[in-house]
Amino acid sequence: MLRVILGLVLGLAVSANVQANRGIAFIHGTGHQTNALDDYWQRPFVDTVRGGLANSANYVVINCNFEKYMWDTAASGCLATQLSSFIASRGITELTMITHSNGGNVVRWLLSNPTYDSRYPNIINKTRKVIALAPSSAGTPLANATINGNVFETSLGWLMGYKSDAVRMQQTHWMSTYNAQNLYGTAGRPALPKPFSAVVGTDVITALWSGNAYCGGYHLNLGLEVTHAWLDSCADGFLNCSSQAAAGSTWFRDYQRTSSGYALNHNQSRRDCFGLPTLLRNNL
Amino acid sequence: MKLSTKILAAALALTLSAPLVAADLALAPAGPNDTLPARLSAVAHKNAASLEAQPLAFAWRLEPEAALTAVVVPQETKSREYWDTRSSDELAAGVTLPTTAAGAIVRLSPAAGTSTKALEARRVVLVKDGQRYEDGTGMQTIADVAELEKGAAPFPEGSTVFRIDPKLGAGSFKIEVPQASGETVVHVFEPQSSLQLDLKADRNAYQAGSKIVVAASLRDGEKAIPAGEISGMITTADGQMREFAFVADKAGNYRAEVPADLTTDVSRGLFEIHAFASAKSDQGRVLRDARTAFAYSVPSARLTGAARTLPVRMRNPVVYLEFDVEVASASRYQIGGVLYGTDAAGRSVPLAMAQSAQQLAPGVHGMTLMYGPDVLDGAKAGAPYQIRDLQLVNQADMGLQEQRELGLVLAQ
Repeated sequence: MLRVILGLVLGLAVSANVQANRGIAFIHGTGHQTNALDDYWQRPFVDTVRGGLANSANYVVINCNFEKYMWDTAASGCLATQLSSFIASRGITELTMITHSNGGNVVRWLLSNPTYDSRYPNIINKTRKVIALAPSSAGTPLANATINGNVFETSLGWLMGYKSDAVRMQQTHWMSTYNAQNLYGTAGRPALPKPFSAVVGTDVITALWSGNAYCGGYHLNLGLEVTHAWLDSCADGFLNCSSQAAAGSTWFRDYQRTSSGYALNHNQSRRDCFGLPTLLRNNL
Repeated sequence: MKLSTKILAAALALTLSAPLVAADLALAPAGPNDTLPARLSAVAHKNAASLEAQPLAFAWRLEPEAALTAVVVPQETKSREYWDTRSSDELAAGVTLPTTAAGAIVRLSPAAGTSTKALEARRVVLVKDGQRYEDGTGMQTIADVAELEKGAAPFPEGSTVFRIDPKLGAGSFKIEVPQASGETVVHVFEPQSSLQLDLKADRNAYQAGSKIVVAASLRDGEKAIPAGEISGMITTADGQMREFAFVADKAGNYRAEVPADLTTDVSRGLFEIHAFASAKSDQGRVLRDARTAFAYSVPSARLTGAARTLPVRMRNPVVYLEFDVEVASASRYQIGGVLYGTDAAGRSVPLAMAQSAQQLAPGVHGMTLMYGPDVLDGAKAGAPYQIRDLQLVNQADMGLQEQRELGLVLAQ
């Protein structure tokens, strides 16, 4: 009798697993993307990660305008359209969202405000988890520095998009207000309805003799080294570690899991660097 | 299924079903941190018609161990930087930059709409104590357009950044920028300085009709120092500006109270408070700018204070509540709240979050929060329940209409 019950339980578990149809959405950061697969993520990264799916065709690379505020129809509205279409067309029952940088904020908007759009509840219900690569959850002092000085100009110039809404939104004091009022998942606020796990980049290496400096593009990484002056000692060249870890939970800090314990700078956390895509593939 | 099993199941369902009778409730008395509208605006919301039409409700579980704060303490800005906009003539003649620590970082950016001509640090002449430093000497870590564009810094097109060589120490520098055209933002950041301007508003969100309380303090390490000059300005989301004055207290801190009557046309985006201070310090002249932000709303709906449990044909555990909402202007409104239960040790712990939203016309309407078995099954806490962090929001601008730290206490 016990064997029969055990068999039934196992059968149910196996059947639930077989019925799950998992998929991945790659969600870019700030920028207006029309070909994020090649321009933002690059194919080797995406191909390695989706290789971890039972059906590797179950993936979508999001292309939206994340220069806009997170709630804008061109940002979260566009994201909801593309995710809904992907879920419906591929019959996805368990979605993993992989976000980079400000993409994490757009997803947090969606998860925090399920009654804002009738497409949100289905997306949330289908979501298994969010893996947030270097999310700008508490903003960045670089965005503050970018905006500093320009409030004195004619307000028209300020408002005409010279500074993108996304840059304005990612100022540390703006994100603090949004985290307190409109977003969940940070300290003291209710948790998000689905797990939000951050990968935190901790440093930028640009020494010419270091192979670490070249992964993802030496000159791109050199640019990040310059920005480090605005940041804490623990930062990925664009974001302080504290910002990356401000929402949800920290899955790992780069050196804890990457090959040879290499640091992931802000460009490298969306590139095929130091085993990152394999870590993602094995965690789907 | 055997008859006896059916009878047992029916009996269990009856035992477990939630009460089918409504019970009237009243909101808890408002607390000092609560936000309640002084009056409601009937002005139509510009984008109300484009909002979602379907009524929606959603709930999810929360970890009972989570330590939640309904009203989050506003962040304090701590600035070790200052900035100004200078004309090309001024920059050609030379602009003085006071610094209070070695290794200051200088950013030069073409001001929006006046020039996009790329600036180059190597063409900036740095002058200290009569000594001229040209062609990048006296500088460290230079980054012009090429480096900045390849990095993640979203600085304006044509910007250049350099660090003054720490060997040159602190004090008064002059920069000459012969290539500048139009106006240029000159931004000085002193990460190693002990002098900072702290700035904080007393709330994260204000409503029209309330009072914005701003605190500022110029500090040298832990010690407040008097500012020779200090002033402030509020910029609305649509770019309107209002200056305000600070008043000093005996401890050397500054405070301002500004009536929140800034605008009736609230756009998306936050309002900003900007404070600027200058002073003489042991390290020489110090200049500081600091900014912070807040949300601003013109409320058009409020909770009347009346609420009730609703009858529901659903097995326990379930908490189904309705709150009366008075609406002065049609829009889509969202209500949300955290359900707390009482655990075996008598502690109040969070169990679940629920939201609902719907389009509402002017008048009084009921808005519901449902915490059903999907989010309460297996919960290690039960009645008596509380609703905390009860919030009413206008989805047209996500403006806060009302917020209560403790919304409701349910005895059963």
